[in-house]
Amino acid sequence: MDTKQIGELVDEIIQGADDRYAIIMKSYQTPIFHYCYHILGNRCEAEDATQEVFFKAYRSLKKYSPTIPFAAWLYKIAYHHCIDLIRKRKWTKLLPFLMQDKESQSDIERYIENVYFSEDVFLAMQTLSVEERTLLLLRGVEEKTYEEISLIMNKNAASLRKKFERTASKFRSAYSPLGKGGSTHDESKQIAREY
Amino acid sequence: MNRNKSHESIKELFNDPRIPQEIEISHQVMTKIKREKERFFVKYKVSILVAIGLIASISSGYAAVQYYQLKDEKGEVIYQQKDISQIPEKPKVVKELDPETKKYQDKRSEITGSMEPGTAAAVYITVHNPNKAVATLYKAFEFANLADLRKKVGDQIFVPETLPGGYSFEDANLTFDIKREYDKEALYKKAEQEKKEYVIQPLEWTNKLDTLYATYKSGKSYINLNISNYEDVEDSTTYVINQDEQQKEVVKVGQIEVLYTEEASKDGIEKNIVWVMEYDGKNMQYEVVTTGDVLTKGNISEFVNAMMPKK
Repeated sequence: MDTKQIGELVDEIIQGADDRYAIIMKSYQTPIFHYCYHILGNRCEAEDATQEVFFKAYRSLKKYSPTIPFAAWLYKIAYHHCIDLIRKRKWTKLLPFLMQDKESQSDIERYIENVYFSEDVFLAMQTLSVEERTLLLLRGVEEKTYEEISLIMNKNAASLRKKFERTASKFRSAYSPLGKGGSTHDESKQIAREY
Repeated sequence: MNRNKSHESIKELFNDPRIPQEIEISHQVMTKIKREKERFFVKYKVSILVAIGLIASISSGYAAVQYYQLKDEKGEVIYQQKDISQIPEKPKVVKELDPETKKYQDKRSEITGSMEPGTAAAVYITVHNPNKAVATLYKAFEFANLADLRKKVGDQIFVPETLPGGYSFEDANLTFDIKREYDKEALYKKAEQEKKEYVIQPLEWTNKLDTLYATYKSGKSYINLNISNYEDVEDSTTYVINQDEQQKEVVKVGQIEVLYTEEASKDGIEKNIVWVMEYDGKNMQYEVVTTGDVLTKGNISEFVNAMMPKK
């Protein structure tokens, strides 16, 4: 949807045409969900978070100003929402993959895929802060401009540029497909430190 | 993994086919939005009889499935009474309001308390109101003089001077339907400009009578007579609390069916009669409420007849 279409839709919704909000959700729910999915590393939590983000956005619709692209505004809400969620978590909940050996391998595989698609990516993401994960996803995966990312994260574009290279390196160092069923001692210490 | 891999591999990694491709949450969010709105806006008129005092907790154990019906001379149901547990949209019962909602409600009460009798307004309260709800508040017309009251209601209802047992008119509150025509955006702008805790847009009453609450007195004893417009009541159904603690019977007075109720209370036996009768082309609900022996199953007809103007 272009800026004009969004602007008109937002005006209509503010005037009382609530049902039109469904159009906005259908346009943006998948990218926002993917963002939450990778930040939180959990499908169910990501679905709940996506709903909450759109609910918060609806309630703040009157505060939206077209000086920032609508998508960036939504991502900003999602970014802050995920930060809040992760702050509230206890670290023991973050390790669905450190299972006891007595679980059957196929049960673990099914569970993992229902929660998050890759144990290795999950563990590598855990070594990054929410800010670093966000930068990695928005620049490295969604290829957004640094200008747009600076609006979402409220940071200077030049400093984001520098930070991205360091973040991508950090992620690549941490990403090490280990095979099934476990992680190294060093990685779990790192995860424990994070939370 | 090769440390020199380009960013392209990061993109590929996060576009794995195992990642859920689609999601559909719009329906859940729209439902939540609608529910939030309905907290402050009643969609249809639901008639609920509330016992004097605070609403008792709605017990979820025994549910009274008994219901009572009053029919007109054609055999059509013109009034139904059911227990509150039968209400189709279950009200959310909370033991305690969250602090923000309580502050909002307190502010509403404060504003209503300060309004002049016989006024209505759309009120936007700027504090404790994250949903930016606009409330329709009103203060009923007050009458201590029967002649003034009769002038105000005109031909819509007949208000008797006395009730059986030597009771005379004492005072009354009266409301009409309100024309809910307000400009939400204008209220929001006004709030921004004036920077007050609340802003008001006065609203007009229609000519259509909504409810009359009248008190009749004899010595230190009182009878309440309530007459309300029953035209818009959903399914002609009134919901009562703890119906299973009341004794009820349908009694016929000529062509009119009357529901007689007794309920034990600490002040004695509370009695009420309720019936629906057409007046001035509209279905009006009449209710007489009192304690003690002034109203009995035997003298119901005297009260019903008292509501007919003398020819």
